[in-house]
Amino acid sequence: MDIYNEFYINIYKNPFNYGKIEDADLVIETEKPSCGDKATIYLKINNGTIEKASFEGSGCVVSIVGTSLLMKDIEGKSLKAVLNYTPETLMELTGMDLKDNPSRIGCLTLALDPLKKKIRELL
Amino acid sequence: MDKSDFPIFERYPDLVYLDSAATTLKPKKVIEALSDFYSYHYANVHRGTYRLSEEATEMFEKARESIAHFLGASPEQIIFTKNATESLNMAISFFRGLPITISIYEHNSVFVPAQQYSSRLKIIESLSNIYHKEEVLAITGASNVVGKTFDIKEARDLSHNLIVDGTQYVQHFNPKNIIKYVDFFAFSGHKIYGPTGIGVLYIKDPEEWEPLLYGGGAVDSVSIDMIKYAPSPYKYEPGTPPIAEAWALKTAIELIDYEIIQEGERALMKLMEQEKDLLEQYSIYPISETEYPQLSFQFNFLHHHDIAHLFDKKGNIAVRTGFHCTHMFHQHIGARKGTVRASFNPYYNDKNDFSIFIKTFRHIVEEYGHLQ
Repeated sequence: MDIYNEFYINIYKNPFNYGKIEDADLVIETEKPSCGDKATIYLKINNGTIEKASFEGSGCVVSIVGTSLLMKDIEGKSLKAVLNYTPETLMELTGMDLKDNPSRIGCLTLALDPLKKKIRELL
Repeated sequence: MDKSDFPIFERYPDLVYLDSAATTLKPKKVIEALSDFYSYHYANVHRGTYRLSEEATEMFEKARESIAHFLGASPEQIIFTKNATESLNMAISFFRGLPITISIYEHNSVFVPAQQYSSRLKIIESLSNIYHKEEVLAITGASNVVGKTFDIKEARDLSHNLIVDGTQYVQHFNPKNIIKYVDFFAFSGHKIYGPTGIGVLYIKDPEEWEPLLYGGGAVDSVSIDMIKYAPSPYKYEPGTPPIAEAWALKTAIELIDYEIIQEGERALMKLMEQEKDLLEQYSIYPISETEYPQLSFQFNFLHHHDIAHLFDKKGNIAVRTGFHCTHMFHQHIGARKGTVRASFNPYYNDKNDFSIFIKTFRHIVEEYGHLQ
């Protein structure tokens, strides 16, 4: 699917799961200095399960859509389950086919990589 | 030389390549020179007392002579390095512990070595900011972000030691114009149609300095507590040099004709001037002050990655995004998220490329501009 179609542009303008969780149990900051993308991830966790997930930040269409749909998808999942997510999971989740643009896969995983790193430290 | 001399267009006939500031495409003759050298003349140079090595040495030194001629210099003033970054590191390292002045337009290959080697780093926006002669001035001849040059004759008068980053300059202007003013002049082979893996450093007084790198081939004699360096340029070139690359770079510079470059660039800039109303809204530098066909844009409505992706998808146009290794300059102008750069080439970008660029540019603005 064209990554600049209306569907993605709408998510980019009004991303799902955007905003701060005031009583978050986990706050993760991520940044890609080479391109200026930035995000803060907030997770509300209960007994190893992600009850609520959200983010704040700015970036390109791919990173915002990727982060937004990731936050939406991990709600209700266990922390352990998130460790199984890969760039392919995000491509499937978003429908963005970036096989011809490997340089953009880093945009898609803006939130996933630091999230997995943090969960690994916790578990 | 024209577009038909670049084989990449046989594979991608519709490619609009606007990334020559990052690297120029390669003419067939340069590719053939590299292949021919490796196929039929290759051996390691210097002290091989057999015919093939002597032939390779002769060709390597002929390449040095040719590059010296290109700059208006002597062969012993021409040091081969792996790229302009290494050349600039070497030149700046000669002044370690001294105050160094650079411009805000500098590429990180000047900025970072100057920051690391200097006792105090001074950054100027314009040569008019210099009131007393600088001990060391390291400055670009031509910016890699926008179409701006520095007056190197004036820079000469304002400095005791002048290092010029000529990497972009040689793509647009004849280095013979300014070589008499500089103490050091650096450029890369791959940005003037040559191969990667070779850079050049011109040193005005090559016997005056100590080498940055040490190793074999750079000494006349050595014992446990003594070293006698070989004469220049060899003392600066330890290890096996880029032999075939030097030969291919010779081929590349012999293909360059600055009259054709100037004429082609004037034509491209005339086209830019005609589209000034559109371009000026997003350009980070005035079109009327642009001295060679290179523009950088800031689009606040979409991230630069998205813009470049759209140029590629909608127009088959190759542009570069990000900070172009000039983080300091981007901070200075407030482009904290980077810019999109289009650098046009007089040999393979024509009127048609420019129309496709403008059409795509307009399309992106019309389609996505509302996201602002």
